[in-house]
Amino acid sequence: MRRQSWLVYLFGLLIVGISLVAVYIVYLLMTTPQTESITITPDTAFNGITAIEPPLLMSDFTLTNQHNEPIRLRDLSGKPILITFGFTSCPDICPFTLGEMRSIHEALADNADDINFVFISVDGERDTPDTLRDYFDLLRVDTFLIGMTGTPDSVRQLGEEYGVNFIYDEADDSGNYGVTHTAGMFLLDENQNWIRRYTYGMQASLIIEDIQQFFAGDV
Amino acid sequence: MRIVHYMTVIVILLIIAAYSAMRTQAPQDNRRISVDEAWVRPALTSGNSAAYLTITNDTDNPVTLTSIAVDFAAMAQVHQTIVENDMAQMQQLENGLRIGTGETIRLQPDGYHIMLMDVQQVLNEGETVSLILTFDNGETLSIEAQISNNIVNLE
Repeated sequence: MRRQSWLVYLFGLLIVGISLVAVYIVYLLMTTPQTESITITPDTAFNGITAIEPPLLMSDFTLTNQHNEPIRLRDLSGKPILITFGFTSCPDICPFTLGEMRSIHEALADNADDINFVFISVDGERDTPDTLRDYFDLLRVDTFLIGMTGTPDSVRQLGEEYGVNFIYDEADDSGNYGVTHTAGMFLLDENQNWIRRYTYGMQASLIIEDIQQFFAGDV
Repeated sequence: MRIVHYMTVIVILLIIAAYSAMRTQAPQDNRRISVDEAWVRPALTSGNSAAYLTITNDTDNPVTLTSIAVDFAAMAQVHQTIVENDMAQMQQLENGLRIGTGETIRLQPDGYHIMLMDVQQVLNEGETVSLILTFDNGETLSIEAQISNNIVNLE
């Protein structure tokens, strides 16, 4: 008799336990958002900066700048160059990166004119020199940013050396299309050796620190 | 003795059932959804732009932002920026943006944004545009957003 009542008691406890778990699962399902924001969490040792070892001398190329003049990479030698790739109808990533470039330019203060800032368009069909110029005005980066545009083929070819790729998304009914492209920034030294890759989304303050160290000769 | 044990189990189950029922059927009151800090990126005609804002859901139920209406762009959708292998792309949130009870969601660069496609006029810094947000509980919010080259947070 005593044994039987223990069994009943255990059985009751089991039911209560299962019910509690079930209620908890339902509660979790009800309260967990279906969409959670993605946070970029690189492994703790990686601060977003990749040093290119050994530095790689980059090939020369010719594109067209925002003033509709031909421009060669070698025209910019003598100063380090900070390069990013993008397109002017990009809603989020490219303006974000160009905003960072503006912040970096401002933060470098006395050294700001000792470095070239370059935006290379991956969307030459739409990004004419005029479009680049209007876009730079709009984003208040016109005073320091060098724009470069050309045929998608030529940009694809030069981009390969930087590990840059881009894919045109399907156009919608009105012909509007997005471009999925490699984000981030690339630093070349004054001799046009590629020395740094800055990961997209990393803290801009770390990029500023790194470039300041470069100017101080610590790199 | 046996009956007492069964009764205990039943009472506990009833309490749990009542509690979960209370959670699901809380009466709706006048608490509301609010939107702050709305801004829109400058853009050229036929380019694309993005709107950023902070949504707080103070109602007693989760809500979903299902649609956005604007008169200065051909289409507005909630998108998420996704970076994979350094390749950045946009993905539409097909089911809208869900905001849990008491939750605040910030739409900000490099996260969620309202993608404004095929902008019909130049969006110049300093100007203001309006957006109408519709939620799945039927609520509609009309908001004003400043066009701005927001400074990137260096913290």
